[in-house]
Amino acid sequence: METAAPSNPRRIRAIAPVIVWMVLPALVIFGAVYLVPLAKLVAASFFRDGALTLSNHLDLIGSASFRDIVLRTFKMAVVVTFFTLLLGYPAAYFLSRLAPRRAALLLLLVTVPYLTSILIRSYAWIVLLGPTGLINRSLLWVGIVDEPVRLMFNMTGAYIGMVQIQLPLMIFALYAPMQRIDRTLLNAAQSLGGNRASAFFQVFLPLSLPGVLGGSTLVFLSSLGFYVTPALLGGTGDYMIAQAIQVRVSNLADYDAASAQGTLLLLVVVLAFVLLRRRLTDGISESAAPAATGQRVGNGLRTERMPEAVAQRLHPFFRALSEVLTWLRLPALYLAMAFCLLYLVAPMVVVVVLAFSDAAYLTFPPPDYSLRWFRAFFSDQRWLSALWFSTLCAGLAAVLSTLIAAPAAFALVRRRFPGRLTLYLLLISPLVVPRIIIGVAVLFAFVPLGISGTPIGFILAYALVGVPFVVVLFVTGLRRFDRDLEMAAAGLGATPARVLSTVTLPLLVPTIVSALLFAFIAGFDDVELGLFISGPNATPLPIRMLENIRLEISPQIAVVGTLLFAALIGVFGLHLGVSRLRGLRRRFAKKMILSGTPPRPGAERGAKP
Amino acid sequence: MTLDTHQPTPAPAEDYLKVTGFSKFYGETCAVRDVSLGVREGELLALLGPSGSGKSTLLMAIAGFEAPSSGDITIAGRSLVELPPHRRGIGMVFQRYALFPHMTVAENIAYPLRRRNMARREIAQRVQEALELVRLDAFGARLPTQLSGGQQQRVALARALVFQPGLLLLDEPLGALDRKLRQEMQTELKQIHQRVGTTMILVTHDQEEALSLADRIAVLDGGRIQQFGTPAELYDSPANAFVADFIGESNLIPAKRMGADGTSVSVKLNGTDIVVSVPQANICAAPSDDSLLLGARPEDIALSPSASETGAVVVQTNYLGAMLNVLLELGPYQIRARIPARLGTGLTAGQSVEIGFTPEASRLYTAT
Repeated sequence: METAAPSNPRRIRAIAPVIVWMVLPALVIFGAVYLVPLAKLVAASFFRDGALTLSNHLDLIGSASFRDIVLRTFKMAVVVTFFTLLLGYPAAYFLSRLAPRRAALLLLLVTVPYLTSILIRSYAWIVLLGPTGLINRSLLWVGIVDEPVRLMFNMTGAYIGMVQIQLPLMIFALYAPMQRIDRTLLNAAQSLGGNRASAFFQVFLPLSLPGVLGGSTLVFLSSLGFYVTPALLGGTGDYMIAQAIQVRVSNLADYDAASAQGTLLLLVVVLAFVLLRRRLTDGISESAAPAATGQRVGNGLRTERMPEAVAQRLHPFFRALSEVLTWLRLPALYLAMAFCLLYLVAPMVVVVVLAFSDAAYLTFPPPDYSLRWFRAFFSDQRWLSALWFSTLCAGLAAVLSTLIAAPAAFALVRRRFPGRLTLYLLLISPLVVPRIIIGVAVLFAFVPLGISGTPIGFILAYALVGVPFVVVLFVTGLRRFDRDLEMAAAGLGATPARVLSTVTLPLLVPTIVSALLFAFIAGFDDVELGLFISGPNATPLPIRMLENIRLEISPQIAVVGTLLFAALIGVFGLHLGVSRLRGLRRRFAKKMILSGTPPRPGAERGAKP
Repeated sequence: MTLDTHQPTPAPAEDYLKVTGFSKFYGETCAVRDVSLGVREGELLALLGPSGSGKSTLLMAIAGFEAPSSGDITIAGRSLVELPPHRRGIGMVFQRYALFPHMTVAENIAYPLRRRNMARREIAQRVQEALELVRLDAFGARLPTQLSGGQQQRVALARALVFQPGLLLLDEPLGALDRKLRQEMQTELKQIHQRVGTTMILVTHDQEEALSLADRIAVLDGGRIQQFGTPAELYDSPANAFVADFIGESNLIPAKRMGADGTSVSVKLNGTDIVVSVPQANICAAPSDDSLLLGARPEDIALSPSASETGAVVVQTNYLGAMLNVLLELGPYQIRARIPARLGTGLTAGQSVEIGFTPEASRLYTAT
């Protein structure tokens, strides 16, 4: 049934200002701390010593070391994308076969690492991959190797760490579309004579390709801007472009070159973003149907690539192969899922165990256990003030980004207006534009305003990177929202404001909570922005941690990780508890209503018909 | 029997709800074109039509979720068009019920009362009465998801009736239920209608549902009213070929006008030698039309054994207990007949039979 599309001009005029008000706050903040500074960054790259020139770019392109950096960065992004896909696809397939309730439990095991700070995860890999780390010692003990393998401070270490960091993103991107694939199609394929493996390859795999493309795009783009993991786990010479930019700005104060490098990286990301926009706007585009693939000719059968004689010769072989695969399918799936979970969760476990170490230095497993590092943390004013600073700024930023992004998401989902898709892409772009570049941009924006190194600056910057999460979550939540409920409420006599407060918002509570949580974490875990805009009186926790990791690798970081971890589990527990409690309250609702006791005092003041 | 029922009836003065000249365009496409109809107080009216006929659009416009492109909608003489949905005071049961998942059954039913700022004691009492009306007294504390489809349907009905609206709209209310439950709910809906006496408009694509529930039916197709009348009028004297085929079953056979006298028109079925003389009263085509459709319900076709090879040939018979369905081939056409089973004991596939069209039960329509 068609729902109210504004069809007569009178209503369009009435609605237009509403859209403006819904979108304006997000646009203003994005313009001030993101778009204009980025434009300045790009513009700056065309100047050297005050003169308009292309020499910044030309120098870069001509420089062999920069070419190496670019190639290395691309190769790294490709390799990381490949491995996350390789590991993530079977895991997502496994999860999509489970009943939603069970899948939710396993997805939680994927989500918790995803929400854990990249710093902490990279730190855990230092513990695991070192020459005397758990992995090397296991290898030695089993006898696979005779001397410790060099797993860290080279590309191997960087890959292991980055794949672990990107894996949850890939699994999420694959899981949702896989879950939507109609399973009866697989049964149909089998009843038509395919075994399970061929049903998978002929039916499921092609249908899951859009998800593969979407997930790979996301992972590839966000890998291009990786900073923390390569900086901590990679070799000293293995610079990625993000590190190169950071060094230019922070250590060399070479803004011209940094602008040029940033501009080139930005160009690549924006280009990929624009080319792949269809994949990324799936969330809000109207036509879910695949684009018409052009005029089909012939009898409607695809032309086979193989000559018929060869195909017939090979058929028994493929048949046998797929029988074997059918047989191996389940064990292989379980194995893949188990490996993924181990890979994702092991670093977390290491961090928690390490936090209780009694040793004065980093060694795993700890020789003895104590709370000394917890005591050290709570007695060190620098740690505590950093924690407080981060919590405060990220908290306020989460509220701010929800306040500006939620109305914009409402407009995106529920209204039709020119530039809708562009606005959506703009609002989610901080997710893929490398943080380092955003960092340089906000630095450029804040210095003239005098808010670099102040809480205000951090709140604005954190809100900026929180917005994409709020937008994506709200768009998903609103699209799933059954608008009949709002119509029903209006039909039963609720004013538009009442509909919002009694039906729409209560049903969106889970969305609001996740939006706040994700926006908070986006700011709280940030390292790159902090690198540029922190100051003597404004040091967020991740910057404090980075300094600590660089100066002395001690179990201190593990304590921070464990505390954050506990907070995260606390939030999940609270969430679970609240929904339980709500269920209980409902059971009493009838009694309260029917006995005339107010269920929610003063909650019912409606419009008369 | 009146023949002009397919014309929108000029709404008599006592009509409670009046729709006049209603049209709805989505860009260039027209969903509903110039519809007028009236609903009397206490009446149960069905809007019947295939999907895309515009029936839901019309319902949404009455509820206030669609603005008319032109035309007016009035209740008791007052225009609704400028009123937002929440100020129309019209009850509505949605196709998928639209029960608020975060509220209990009782809270759902109390919702419209709270919006009207009713005293709590009164709310409690009204909720209880509404629950009793739909026989769900014990279910007030449940969440909608803890109810079966039929129970959810009844909660939706109770919620839409509890604030005693002057008009209740039902959008395919039984569409999501299985066959047995649907029949039960039909009975219950009819009983509730009789008890509360609220004026109701029911949208459905199921002709059986419309025939058994409604006092009057408006048949819609292509955004226009094809016919508006009582179930018996629609069944016995369809106004056009669409209604003849949509309500019940009709054989529609192309025919040519041969001649007419004062009381009847004779037509010859194309490709055969059969001539049928149809009484003037059964003619739903302009006198100038020469290409016509002869409409005859299967039960109005008589079969008699024939020796000649020129008549109809039995293709297949289906035994239904009391009746026998016979599929026949008559020249280029397939004809469906339904005869009392005892009259058809000798019929077998391949047999030639004589077809008789009862003139009084045959109708002539404009060929479309």
